[in-house]
Amino acid sequence: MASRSMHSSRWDAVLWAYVITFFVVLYGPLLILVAFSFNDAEVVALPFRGFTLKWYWAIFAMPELVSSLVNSFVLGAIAGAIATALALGLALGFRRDFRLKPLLLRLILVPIIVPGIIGGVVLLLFFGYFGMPFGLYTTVLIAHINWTLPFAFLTLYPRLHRFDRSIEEAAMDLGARPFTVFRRIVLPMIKPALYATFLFSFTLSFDEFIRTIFVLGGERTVPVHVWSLVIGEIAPFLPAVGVVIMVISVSASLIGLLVSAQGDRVAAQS
Amino acid sequence: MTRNRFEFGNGAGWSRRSVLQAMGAVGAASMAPQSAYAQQKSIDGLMVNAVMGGPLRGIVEGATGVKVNDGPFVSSTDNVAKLMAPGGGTRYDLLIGVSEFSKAPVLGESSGKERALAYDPAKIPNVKNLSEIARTDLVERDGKTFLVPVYWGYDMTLYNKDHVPENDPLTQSWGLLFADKYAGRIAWYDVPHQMIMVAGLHMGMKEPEKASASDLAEITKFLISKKKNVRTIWTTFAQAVNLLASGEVVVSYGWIPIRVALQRRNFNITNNWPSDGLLVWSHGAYIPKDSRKGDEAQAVVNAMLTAEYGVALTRETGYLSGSTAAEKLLSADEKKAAGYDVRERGIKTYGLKWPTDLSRWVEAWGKVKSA
Repeated sequence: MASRSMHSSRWDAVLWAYVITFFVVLYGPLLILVAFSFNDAEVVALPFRGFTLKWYWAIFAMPELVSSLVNSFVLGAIAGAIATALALGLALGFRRDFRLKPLLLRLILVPIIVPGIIGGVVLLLFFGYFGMPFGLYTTVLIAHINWTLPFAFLTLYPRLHRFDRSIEEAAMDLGARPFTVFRRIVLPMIKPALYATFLFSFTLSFDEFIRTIFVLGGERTVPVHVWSLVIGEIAPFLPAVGVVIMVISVSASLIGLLVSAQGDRVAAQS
Repeated sequence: MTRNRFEFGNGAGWSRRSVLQAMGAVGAASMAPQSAYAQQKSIDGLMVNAVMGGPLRGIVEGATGVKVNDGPFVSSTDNVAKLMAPGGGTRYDLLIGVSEFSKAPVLGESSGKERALAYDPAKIPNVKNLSEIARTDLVERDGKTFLVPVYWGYDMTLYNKDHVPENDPLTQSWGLLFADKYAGRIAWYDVPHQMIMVAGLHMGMKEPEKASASDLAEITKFLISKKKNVRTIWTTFAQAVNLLASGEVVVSYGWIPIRVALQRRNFNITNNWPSDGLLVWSHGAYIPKDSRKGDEAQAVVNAMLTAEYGVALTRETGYLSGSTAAEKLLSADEKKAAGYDVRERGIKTYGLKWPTDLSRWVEAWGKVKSA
């Protein structure tokens, strides 16, 4: 009995060591980034020369960086909205059985499987072949929707798949037309999932870099701008930019998770 | 929903009329800025973003009345890839990249297959002021000019003067990058082309770019033998700057902008002038042949060869103007620090030439990195 308890506590210690190492490796670099964002030094390097907030103020004094942030926000919002709408349509369609359904399901997921750099090259060639003007709200928007749509679909489809069809059937028995059933029954119940899908798609679009760099015109999104700074300038404010981007992405994801969790609770109660 | 009203619940909602009014207002608002900007001439370009940074953009746009929308520059070879991709002839109006890398794709396989517009000499009169070094990279065919070098520079070894003596033959050679003396405090650059070129120059090869298989094997063996001295191999500007600024390394392969950025912040870092051959290159401007803004692009190129632009270019970025007009306005100290007088000083220069088989070089560098 005593040896079993010692054995168990040894395994507990190993497990704790593993968990601590896991979190240190996962979050350590992020904490270092946050620390450097407050470092009063002209280069991103040790030693720590004092605490300052000036790099955060510097971000908002740079019109080009602010413009990139706005570009990423607006693009993310539009791409997220379109991807969510398209994913909703796909998910509704996939509730039925039809020929080639398994194949189509896999085709939807192809953008996830194709490596980013290959995806970027493919889009570059595709848009060039059709003579599309390269720009933020033309080629980049399509590239972002192409990237986020599979994730939006994977987020929304399980929710719709679990939806109790008998409620819809009851509504139709009472004389409601299909659009009314969708608008008055289905939509209110999946609204939390739609918000979560939108926010998740927004985050993916906001952070997207590799495909964007191939199909961008003269404007920049914030990941592309940050990369330009890394390869071309001493930019001591870069860690601060990284923290701001992280806060935006994490906040959007957390809000999405909370809304989604709330939706699950409401669905469980009903 | 009633026929003419979108209901949100609790009595709130939009009438159809108010929705249409809002859409009209948004449409009108989005048109206004477009109509204002539509008046200004502009070109889309790809170039090292620093050459349009700060006051440089104002000089070019002020002289030409053309707004330069410079996209994020990846590399000179990326420029060429975009030029050669479907639709590449119309996507950008001006591309500026390493002349040596751009020459063959710009000229195409034969006369008539050029991918760039021929310059109109009347639109680029400042080409007559091209310096001797820049002029060697002018790309012409059948009496027409397709690529104009607008600025030039060189790669070097950067070193910390607090730890590395300046007046030492080892310091003033590519051997500094491989010196056992500074073992553990050296950084290399993660690009096969440059690293193998400088190793070849250091080993005394006359034309490293034409290295045979056995020569390349010798270079690879040499690099592997010296890898033990290397602290790290950097890939980005920011990495190189931080390595030197923090003192983690005292010797590093370097670029002009790295030197300028560190010296501007009072770090005691400078570059060597390698006796085995300063690796020089130029950046040349070419206009994709299907660009509809050839006149505007040529005006920008001409402006980049003015004295005013050239002086600002050297003072802001450290790059050297392709025009002798700029050189005349710089002080003797500025010219010496920048390197305008390298040939007068008797420093051997060697052009960054394209290897005869880059894939073998890439493979060789892979062996060095994995050793």
